[in-house]
Amino acid sequence: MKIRLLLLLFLNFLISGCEGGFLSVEEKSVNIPSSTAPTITAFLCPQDSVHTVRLYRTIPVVGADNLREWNANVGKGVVTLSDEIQTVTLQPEKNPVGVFRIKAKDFRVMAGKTYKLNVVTYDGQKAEATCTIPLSKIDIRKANTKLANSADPSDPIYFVTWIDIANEQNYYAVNVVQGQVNFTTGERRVSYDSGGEVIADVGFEGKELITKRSFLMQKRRNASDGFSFVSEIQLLNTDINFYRYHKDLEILQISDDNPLSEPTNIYSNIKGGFGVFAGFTRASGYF
Amino acid sequence: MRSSLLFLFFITLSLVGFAQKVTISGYVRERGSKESLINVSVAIPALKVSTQTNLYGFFSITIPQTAELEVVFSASVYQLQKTTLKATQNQRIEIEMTVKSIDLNEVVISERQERVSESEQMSVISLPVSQVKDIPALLGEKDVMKALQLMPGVQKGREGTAGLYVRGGGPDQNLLILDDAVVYNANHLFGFFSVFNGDALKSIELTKGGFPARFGGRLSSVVEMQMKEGNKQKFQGEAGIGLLSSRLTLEGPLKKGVSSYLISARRSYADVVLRPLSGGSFPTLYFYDLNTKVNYEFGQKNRLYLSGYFGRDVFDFREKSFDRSRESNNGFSWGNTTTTLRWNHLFSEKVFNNTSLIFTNYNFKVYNEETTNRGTYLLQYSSGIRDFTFKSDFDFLPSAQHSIRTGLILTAHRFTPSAIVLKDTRIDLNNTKSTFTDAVETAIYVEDVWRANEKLSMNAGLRLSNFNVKSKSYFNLEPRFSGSYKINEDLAIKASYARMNQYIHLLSNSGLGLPTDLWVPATDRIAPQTSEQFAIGIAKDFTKKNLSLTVEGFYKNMNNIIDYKEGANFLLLDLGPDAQKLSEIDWQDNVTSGKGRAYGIEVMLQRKVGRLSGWVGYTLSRIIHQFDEINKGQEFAPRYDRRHDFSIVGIYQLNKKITLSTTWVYGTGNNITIPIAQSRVSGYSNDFNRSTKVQYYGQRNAFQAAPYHRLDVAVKFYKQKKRGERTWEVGVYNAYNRINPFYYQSRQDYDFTTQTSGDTKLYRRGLFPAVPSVSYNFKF
Repeated sequence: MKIRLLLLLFLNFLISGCEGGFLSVEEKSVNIPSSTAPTITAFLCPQDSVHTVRLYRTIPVVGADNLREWNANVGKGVVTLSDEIQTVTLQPEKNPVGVFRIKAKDFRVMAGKTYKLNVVTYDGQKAEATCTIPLSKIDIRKANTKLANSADPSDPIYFVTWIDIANEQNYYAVNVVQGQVNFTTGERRVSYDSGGEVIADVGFEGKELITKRSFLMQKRRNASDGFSFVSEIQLLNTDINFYRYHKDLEILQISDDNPLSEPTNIYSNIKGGFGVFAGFTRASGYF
Repeated sequence: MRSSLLFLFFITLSLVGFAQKVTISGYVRERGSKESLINVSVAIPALKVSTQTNLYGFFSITIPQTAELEVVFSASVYQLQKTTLKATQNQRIEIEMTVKSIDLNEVVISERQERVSESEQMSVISLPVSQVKDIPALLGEKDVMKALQLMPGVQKGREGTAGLYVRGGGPDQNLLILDDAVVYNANHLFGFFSVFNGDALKSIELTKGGFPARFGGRLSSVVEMQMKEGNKQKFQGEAGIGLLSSRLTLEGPLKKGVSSYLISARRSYADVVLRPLSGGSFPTLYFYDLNTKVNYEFGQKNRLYLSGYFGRDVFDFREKSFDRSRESNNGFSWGNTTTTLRWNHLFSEKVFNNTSLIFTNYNFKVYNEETTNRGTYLLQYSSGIRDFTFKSDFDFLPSAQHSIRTGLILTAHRFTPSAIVLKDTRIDLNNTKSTFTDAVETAIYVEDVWRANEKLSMNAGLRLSNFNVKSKSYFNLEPRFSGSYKINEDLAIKASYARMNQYIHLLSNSGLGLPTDLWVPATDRIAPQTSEQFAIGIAKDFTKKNLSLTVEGFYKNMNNIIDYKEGANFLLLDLGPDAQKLSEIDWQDNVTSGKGRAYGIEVMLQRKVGRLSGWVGYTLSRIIHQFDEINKGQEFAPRYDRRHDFSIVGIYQLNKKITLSTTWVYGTGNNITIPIAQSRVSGYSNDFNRSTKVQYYGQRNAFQAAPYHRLDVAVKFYKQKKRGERTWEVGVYNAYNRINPFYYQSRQDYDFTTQTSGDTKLYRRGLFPAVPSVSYNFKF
C-alpha cells in the first residue's frame, strides 16, 4: 500500500543513521536463541495423484552458511508417511532439491483417516507430525462466482461463493489456477497459481460464504494443440493445521511491507521442526 | 445548586465543630513575579501542625486561638521563610518567597529542602523545573519527559524517545495533565522530544503509586504539570537558540498585581538547515508549539485563568518524476490542542473551589497524493480523540488535622479511530468513510488527609467512576489509601494501596511514539484495564545535608491490559487487492486482552538544593505479561522489563558563572523478540518461485539485548549583560559513544572476492553516536 511507503521512508530516514559502521556492532552474546531445525511442508489430499513432502533449508540467526552442504545432502534424508496399516518412504527428487514424492497408488490417502509424517534429515535431525484428512468435500455444484468492481473493465475479477458444509466446524481454502487443459487427454499445464485464501466458517454455519479477495478469471477459449485456456477454481475443505499455517502466511504477507507490525509467529504442528503437515479434500471446477 | 448545598454543608460543619479556633489562610507567591507557589509546606512548629499550598498557592490551617505564633514556609527551590502572627482571630495573609539564588534579607533564614518524611504520600516525585533545565539533553533540547525517565521506577522506551514506562505500565497508562487538560500525545518529532516546553512550566509532579482519589483514568502514573501564570509585576522574557529549535517566552502584567499573561512558543528548523546540505531533497520536518495563559484576580475571592496549548508536527515529502509527468505529495501531520478555563472561588477561609471547563483534541493525518496528466489520486487517513470536560473540586480544610477534597469530573469523549478519504479523478472515484464513537466518562471522589497526631498521617479516599459507551456502562469503585508513620523526626515508614481503572486504550505497536498511535474506548468486547497496587517504603531526611532518601517496594496487578495480536497491522486500513474496495479493519480484531504483574524495589537519594544537587536512583524490578493469544498463552517478560536500572544526575554550581552537569544511566537490556531462524516456503500453491521469506520466532521476548548505558555532560556559562542574563550551554550526549541497541538485524556476510557467503551474524544497531550540542539562551 502506498501509504506504507511513507512510513518506510521515515524509517529509512531513521534507520539509515544506524547503517553506518560506526553505529553497528556484532552481538556476541552466548545467549542468542538460534535454531537449525528442519522446515517441512506436506499437504495430503485424497484427490492428489502424487503426494509431496518438501524440505526447506533453515538458516539460523547466527551460524555458518550451509547452502552447498544442504543442496548436496538434503536428498539423503529419510521421509516416511504412515497410517495404521503401512509405512512408506518417499523418494527424493533431484531437481528441485528438497522435494520428496510418492505416487498416490502406492500410498492411499483417504478422507477421515489420520496420517503420520517422520523426517530424519541428512545431519540426523528428527521431526514428526500427524494430520487428519477432513471427511467432507465442498459441493462444487453450489459454488459460484460474483463479479467484483474492477479498475479495468477489460480484466474482470470475481469473488467465489460456495455453501458451507453444515453441522461441522470447517476451514476452507480457495485457489484459482490459470492454465491450459486438453479435455481429450486430460493433460494440464499450469501457467499461473493465484495463491489461495483461507476462511473459517465461524458465524456462517450452513450459509453461503464468499471470498474476501477477488480473482482474475478467464472464460474457456481455445489454445493451440487441442488445449484450452481455463481458470480452475479449487475449493478445499482443510484441517485446522492447513488453515492456521496459511492464515499466518497471509498475515505475514499483509504485514511484510509494514516495518512496524508485530512479528508474525508462523503456526507449526511439526515436532522438532518448522512448517506444517496438513490434510484437505478438494473440489474443483472450471470457470 | 449542587455546589451551593455542598457549600452550606461545609459552612455548617465548620461553625458547629470548631468553635474557639482561628483560621490562618492565604496565598503563597514568588517574590518579584507574584507567581502562585504550589506544594509549599506551611508549618506551625509550636503546635506541631502543618499543611501545604494547593495548585493555586492557597493554604488554610485552623488552630486554637494563640496570642502569637510562628509560621514556617518552605519549598525546595525557595528560601525558608518564617513569619510571626497574632492568631487571635481569622487571618488572611499573603506570603512572598524568594528564589534561593537571589540575595536575601529580613525574615529569611536559610534554604532547606522539603522533607519527604513529613508527607503522608509516597511514590510522588516533584521535579523542579530549574533542574530539568540543568540536566544535559540530546541536542541541548531540555525535556520534562526525559528528565522523568531518569527517576527510579520509570523506564524509557526506545533510544532517544520520550515515552514513560512506570512500574510495569505502558506509555498509554500515564495520565499527562497540563493545567487540568489531558494531553493525549506527548510527542514531537516522532517521539524524540516531548511537547512540554519547560519555559512555560511552573511545576512537574509524577505520582507512581498511592494515587489520591482525585486522580483516575490511568493505571500507572500521573504527571501533573502547571503552566506559569506570568509575571504580575513587570514584563520579562526568555529566548533560546539551539541546534534543533528556537524558543521565546514573554510574560508580564496586564494590570499590575491583578492580571498577567504568558506566551511561550517553539519552532524547530532542522529541515531548513539540512535541506540545502542534502541538495534540496530533505523532506519538510518540523514542529511548533504555543503555550498561552492569562489570569485575572477579581478581588480576594475570585480568580479566573484561561490557558491553552497548541502544537503541531509536520512531515511532508514531495517529489516529481524525472520527466515531471508525475508529482507526489506524502506526509504526516499531527498535533494536540488544549484549552482550560478555570475559576477559583473562596467560599470561606476553609472552603476553596476550582471549577474548570476543558477542551482537548488530538488528531493525526496521513496522506498520499499523486498527480499525473491523467488526474489525481488521493488517499488520506486520519484519526483522533476529542474531549469536553467539566470538573469541579472543593478543598475543605476544617481543622489542622483534616484536609478534605471532593469533586466531580465529567468528560464527553469522541473517538475517531479512522476517517478515510479516497479520491481518484482518473476513474471518477470519491469515497469517504468515517467512523466515530462517543463515550461519557464520569467520576466523583472524596479524599481526606488526616493528620491523626504528630506521627501518623494518611490520605484515604474513594473514587466512583463510570464509563458509558454505546449501550455498555461500566461502574467501578476505586478505594485509595496512603499513610505514613513517623518513627522519629527524620524517618517515616509509608504504605499505600490504589485500585485504578482505565477506560481508554492506546493502540501502539511501534513503541516509537509515532503519531499513528490510536486512542480507542473500552467496549463491550474490550473491557477497561484495571490495576491494584500495593507499596511500602521508608522516607528518611538527612536535614543537615539537605538529602532525602526513599526506599519503596511495590507490587502491581494489572488486568485486561491490551496488546496487538501477532502480525497485527497498526493502520486500521487494508485496501486489499481491490483499490476501490474501501474496507476497514475493526481495531477490536487486532488486539487481545491479557494480564500482567510487576514488582520491584526503588531507591532514591535526592538533593534539590545547594551547590551540588541531583539524585541517585536505582530500581530492581520484574514485569510479567500473559495473553492467551500471544506466546501460545505462556507468560513472558515485556520489552521494557528491566531487571536493573540505575541513574545518577549531578548538577554542580562551580561558581556564579559556570554550572556543570552530568547524567549517567545504566539499564539491563530490553527483552526483545528476534527470529531464531528463517527460510523460504511456498505453502500449498507449491509454486516455489512465489515463495515467501518466513522468519521463525521462539519464545516472545526471549532475547535480552545488550545493556543500555550512556553518559551525558554539559557546561553552562552565565554572564550578566546590560539587558539581561545570557547563557551558553555546551554539551555532549552519549559522551563515550556507546552503541546502545536501537534494533537488531541478522545478516549473512558475503565475500565479494571469493563470491562466497559467510556466517550469519546478529548485529546491534545504534541510533545516536556521541552528539555534541551548543545552545544560547537569554533572559531579559
